[in-house]
Amino acid sequence: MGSLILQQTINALTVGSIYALIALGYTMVYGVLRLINFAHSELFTAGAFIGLGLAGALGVAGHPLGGVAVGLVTFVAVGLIGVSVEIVAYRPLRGTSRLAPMLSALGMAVVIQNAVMLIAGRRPLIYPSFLPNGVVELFGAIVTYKQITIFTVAVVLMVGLELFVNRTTLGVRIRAVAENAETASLVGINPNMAISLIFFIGPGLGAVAGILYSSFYGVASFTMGFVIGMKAFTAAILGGIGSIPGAVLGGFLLGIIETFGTAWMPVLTGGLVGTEYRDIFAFSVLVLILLFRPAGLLGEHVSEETMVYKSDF
Amino acid sequence: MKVLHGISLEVLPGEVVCIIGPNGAGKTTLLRTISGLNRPSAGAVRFRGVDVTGSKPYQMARLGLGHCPEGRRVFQLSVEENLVTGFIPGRGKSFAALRDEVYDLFPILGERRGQSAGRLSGGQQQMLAIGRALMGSPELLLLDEPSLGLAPIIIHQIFEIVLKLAESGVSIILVEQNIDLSFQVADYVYALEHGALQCSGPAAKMAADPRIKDIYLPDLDAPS
Repeated sequence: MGSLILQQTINALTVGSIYALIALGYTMVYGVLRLINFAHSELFTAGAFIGLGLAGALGVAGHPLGGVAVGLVTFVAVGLIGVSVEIVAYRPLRGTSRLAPMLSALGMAVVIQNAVMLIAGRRPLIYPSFLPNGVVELFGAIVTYKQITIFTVAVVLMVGLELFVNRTTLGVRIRAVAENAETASLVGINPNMAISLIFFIGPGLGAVAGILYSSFYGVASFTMGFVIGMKAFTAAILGGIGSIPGAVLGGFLLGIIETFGTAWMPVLTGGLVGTEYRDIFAFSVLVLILLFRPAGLLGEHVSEETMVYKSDF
Repeated sequence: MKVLHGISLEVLPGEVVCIIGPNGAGKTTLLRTISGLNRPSAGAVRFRGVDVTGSKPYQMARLGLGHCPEGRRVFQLSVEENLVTGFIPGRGKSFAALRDEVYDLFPILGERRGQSAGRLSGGQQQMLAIGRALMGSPELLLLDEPSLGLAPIIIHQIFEIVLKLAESGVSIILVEQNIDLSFQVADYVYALEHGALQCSGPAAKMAADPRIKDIYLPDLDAPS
């Protein structure tokens, strides 16, 4: 019994790591532009496929050290795609309404998804794992090296992000722009610099999550971003959208809710509700949090401010 | 919407220029236009003789324009982080040197450097907003109602700093509702009404102008 709970906790932390990494991209963009970047889930997919292509080109498929190099290059490549998406699809619409950039984001999601499909094909591809093989037994629970690696990579990236945002001059400038782009511009900060940086880091993290996810499950398909993107978005809302610690907390919490819920539901309902209802949990959480605590767990109060700047900054 | 009509305004180095006028006269709009937050439909902004019309606010700041906006708008960061946001590299002085200057000018900020700016009093927030603008080594400083909502003793402190800055060669454009103090610190005064220039002149001359006296300084010769 104890080892079963431990086993599920480990599984929850693995999937939670992935959710948290993706959720960071949603929350950072929202924090600065008050925009839900619906293209983010597709950048996660693009990351997985770019990683796959790179691994093939470099001949390092299945090699953990090669995986580090692939991860770094993919981070930069997808980061640059993210920056371009903002410049092409969101920047021209700034200062109009909140609806226009949101529709543009949905459009970008379709464009990127289809681009991945045209390049990589419609069939799911077998994904070479970059993660090391092997298991350790921990108090009766089985922990794979893959799970340990995913969790470690996620934590390292999150700590790095936290240090960058809170301890560096650039991080302080980004927080100033997130709070008030107009005032930030008045004191000499170019808000577009901060916004581009956000659109580099968020998709970069999402791309790494894509490589980890596909390496873990051994498969990649061009549609895989949609559901996991929605779940990561739920995680961001759960933690409090706009809050970086919130995205991390929300990601792990959602992993725990989903894993335990899925595992115990068949037992509790006498087999009436099976594990195929896995996705129910994430979206039930989304509905409940929107109903009862729309600001999320760590979010500041959400007001109806529209953040549509009437001025040039 | 057109708010300002044919206003011409000039500031010389080290001069304190004060803009007065009732609410809605266009004082804040005038400052926002100088900073590039609003784009003028006609006319030009020249800074050190160079036409900078249409520049973005951050470009103006990097040229040497400091702007303390209405309502102070300090960031919800620590005091020192607020100063970090205002620092513009490549304008001569290092961050540490400028920060120490600000803490010398406003010792209370130095004592509270690690605190969140949101927990400062209104006066301290105003000091921080000025300090943040000074981190960019401005040659021209725009102050939008620095006395708003502050206790008289704090207002005097802030105005003393304003004079000190002017003596050190910084030009200042001050928008104020506090007419008495404005006339004490200003070299030159512009009076706006309905977005147009009503009258302007050296502070001493303006204070004696009957039009100004009637509208803004009724207390000076109120019948007893």
